Amino acid sequence: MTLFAIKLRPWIAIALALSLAACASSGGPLVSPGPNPAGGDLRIDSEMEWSRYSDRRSQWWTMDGQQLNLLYLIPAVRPGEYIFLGRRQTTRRPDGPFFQPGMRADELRDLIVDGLLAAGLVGVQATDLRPDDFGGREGLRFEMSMTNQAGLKYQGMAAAFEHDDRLALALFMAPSEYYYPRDAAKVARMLDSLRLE
Amino acid sequence: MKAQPCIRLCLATGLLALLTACASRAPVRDIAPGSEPLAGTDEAELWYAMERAEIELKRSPFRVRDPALNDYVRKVACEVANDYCKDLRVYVMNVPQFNASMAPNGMMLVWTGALLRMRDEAELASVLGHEVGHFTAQHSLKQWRRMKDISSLLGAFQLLAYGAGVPDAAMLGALAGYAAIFKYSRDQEREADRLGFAALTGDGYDPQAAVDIWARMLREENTRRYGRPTPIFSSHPETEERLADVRAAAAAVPNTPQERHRDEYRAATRPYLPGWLEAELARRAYDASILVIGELLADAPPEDRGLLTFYLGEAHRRRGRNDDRANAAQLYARAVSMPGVPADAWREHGFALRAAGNTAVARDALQRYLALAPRAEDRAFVQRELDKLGGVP
Repeated sequence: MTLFAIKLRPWIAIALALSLAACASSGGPLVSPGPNPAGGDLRIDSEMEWSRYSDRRSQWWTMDGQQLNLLYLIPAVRPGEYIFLGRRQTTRRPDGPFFQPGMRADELRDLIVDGLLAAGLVGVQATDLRPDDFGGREGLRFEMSMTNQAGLKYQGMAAAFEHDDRLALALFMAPSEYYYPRDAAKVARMLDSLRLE
Repeated sequence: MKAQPCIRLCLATGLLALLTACASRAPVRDIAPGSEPLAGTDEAELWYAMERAEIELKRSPFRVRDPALNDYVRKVACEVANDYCKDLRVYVMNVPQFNASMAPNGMMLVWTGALLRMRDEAELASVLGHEVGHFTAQHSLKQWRRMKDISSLLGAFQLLAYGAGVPDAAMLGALAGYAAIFKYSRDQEREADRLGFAALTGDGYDPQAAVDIWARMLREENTRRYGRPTPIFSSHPETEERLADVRAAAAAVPNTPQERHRDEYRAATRPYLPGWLEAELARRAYDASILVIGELLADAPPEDRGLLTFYLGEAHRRRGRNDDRANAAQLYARAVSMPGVPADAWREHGFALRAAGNTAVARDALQRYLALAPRAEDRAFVQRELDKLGGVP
């Protein structure tokens, strides 16, 4: 029995579950080491092989399964769009984590962190926000730590840059135990190579 | 042609009569302090499920593990629970909304969003008294039985209705069943409100504390432009009704005690205030946050006003509507002159000055930020902004 009624947001769980279920299916197109398309005009140089899954607006890359390593790539978040689920801004919910052109680097970081929190991750902490260059475009990088709802600790890294009033975004997440340390340096170099062509 | 409406009416009327008559009349046990359900009963089954859930809860990443805060909340819970103290296990959960809950086996959860919104121990006692009321009145068990009754009835009724070729009546019956469950829940909440209020005043706390917190909740609820529950399908009474009830109850208390224990509450919760304010903003419900932080600021002691002024500025900046940015700039400028302001206020003050074209003072403010927070996680980003501003390094 609670003091107040609790409002659940089932659409978050459903959308995530559907996305992740798609990733969990066996076998997607293989990403080979070298330059690769990452959706739209976005390109990234991979240092290892990945399985790739995609929908209309994003790509999900994994090596060992999405709960063990996940590289999430979105070539173009449009103005007013929710970065993770493509949910458009409405007048009913004007304060959500929606992208707007011209946001400061720390506002973009908050957008990503708040979006991950809204998607069900716990205690998302961002560190080392810093500027970076992505093929001549000014952008940002930062690292993250968080846990899933079962308490498993994860680490992550993010890269983002604005282009043509849209946001290109890459997120990598993996468990702190073994998987993140194993691949972090390689994935960091991959994020360095993000660019539009 | 006229028979079908008659059948529908009869079925619907019959169902409503059954729902009214069929509330579980099974007696609940005498819940003496320290007692447990008898083995083999439905209550024992319910407790077992709750105990399994509690094992999971103990591992939850949402749990605040700091013993000092948990001990303090437990101490207040024990004051309103009296002899039932030994039946309670209190868990503070890092969830930035106003709520608390009580399981039938004595597992009590208190959310940090509730602790942020309270001003003193009397308000905390008011909320915990409500939860203890659920425990002593065995509401979960009664509600569980009620739901089982209604589910069985609905199943039989819908079978009959579909068999009789009146699917509309079956659907109407389902709606009536749900409405009956929710009404029962609302009645239990009203009873818990009464029990909580009695515990509050019985322990010598100021009854006005209950009025203050419900009035505050109503103001916050009124900032919501979406997600309001439909009264007939709501598990809780409307906040207006609860406020009116508690206000009447407080007015009827003779020789009103005045004890609020504000200093004790602040000492126990102050270390968490910055983190709770960050979590509040991360909800991205800025109309509510502006109200919550603004009211906290109005009630705050001088040493907390710098912190709260900064976060009020943050809520305005992040909302970013109309003149929010200008309001934020004014709040940052005010905050940096106050004691206890976080270093982040200098960063935001610097960015606001830069946006206003005051380059030289903006540079000073950003440098002040980096001096106060030499290991700031966004140091590289701020340094780049400083480089763009030019001037003397």
